[in-house]
Amino acid sequence: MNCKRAKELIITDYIDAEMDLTLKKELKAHLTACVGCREFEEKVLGAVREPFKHFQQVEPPADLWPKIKTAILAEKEKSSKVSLEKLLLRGISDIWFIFRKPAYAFVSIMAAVLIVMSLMKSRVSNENKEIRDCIVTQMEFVSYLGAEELKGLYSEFMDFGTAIEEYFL
Amino acid sequence: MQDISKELILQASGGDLGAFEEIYKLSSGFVYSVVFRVIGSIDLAEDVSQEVFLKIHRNLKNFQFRSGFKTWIYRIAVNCAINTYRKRSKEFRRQGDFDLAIKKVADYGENEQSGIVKEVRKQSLDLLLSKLNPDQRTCIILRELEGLSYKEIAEILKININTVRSRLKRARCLLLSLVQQGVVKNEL
Repeated sequence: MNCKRAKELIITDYIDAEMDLTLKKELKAHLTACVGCREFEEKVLGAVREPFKHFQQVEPPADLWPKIKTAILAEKEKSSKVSLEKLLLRGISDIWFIFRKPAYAFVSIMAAVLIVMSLMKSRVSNENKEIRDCIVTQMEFVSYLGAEELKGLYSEFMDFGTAIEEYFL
Repeated sequence: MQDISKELILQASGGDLGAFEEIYKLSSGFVYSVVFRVIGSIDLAEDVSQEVFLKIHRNLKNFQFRSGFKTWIYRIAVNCAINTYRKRSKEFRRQGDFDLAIKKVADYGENEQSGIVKEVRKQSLDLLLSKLNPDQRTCIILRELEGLSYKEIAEILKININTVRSRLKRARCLLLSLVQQGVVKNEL
């Protein structure tokens, strides 16, 4: 054991009786041989142990318990008031809960109906629009067919190109 | 601190104020001493001790006997004291100016009366403790005042046992240097 280790042990485990027997024997052997460490041991006991020899417990003042008791009773009263308020709130929320379901159901149904109606309306109007567009297209085509200037084109289209077809048609 | 029975703890946690008063009587000496020594102020020690016992009362029903009851109370007392010290540390640093006054008192000769000697001792001890940081001071107080083992201190402070050893070592090295410097006469 070297002096550094010995001094560390002296200032902690040795004076606090926290050492195991083997280590204590080793330290004692070192102290027997080392004057410096023995002097250090005396200094430590004088500076570190001596001031605390007269260390006494300081008694609390007599009025400490009455103050604590008053504070505890005040806290108990406060917590009983708080629990009464909680009960009232709970009662109100329970009543609301009873009526909540039918009210929510009614609102949900109404909302669903409105959504469905608006969807259907938009679909019907889309279909009408398609029909209208189709009719308009047809009318345009028919009028297109009836135009004088297109007669020639028509005959061109109807030209099959052979004498027999021309005879029969 | 005397041992507190499990029955007493259970009665107190059930709301029995008489049982809680018994717990107070068995533990108030230690709690007040530790709080006072850590904070270093009599006025604050009373307020903090009150806070400690109110916390104990509020949390009694949550105490599940996993650690010792003594350890649990120590922990609450130390935490409250250290927290208060840290909040008020600026004020406490100003109190270091009483060094000169201490030196004057320490210069009394050997013919001083016992009351003065006692006062010198007390003030020297306060001076020594004021030189330590809260962690070191707490370890020294729990070791020297209450005689707790390293293991018990480690459990209370929720630190490693080597950390306890290290804090005690630093605190004692500082005390040793203070005495050697003559800041405090060692004829106590």
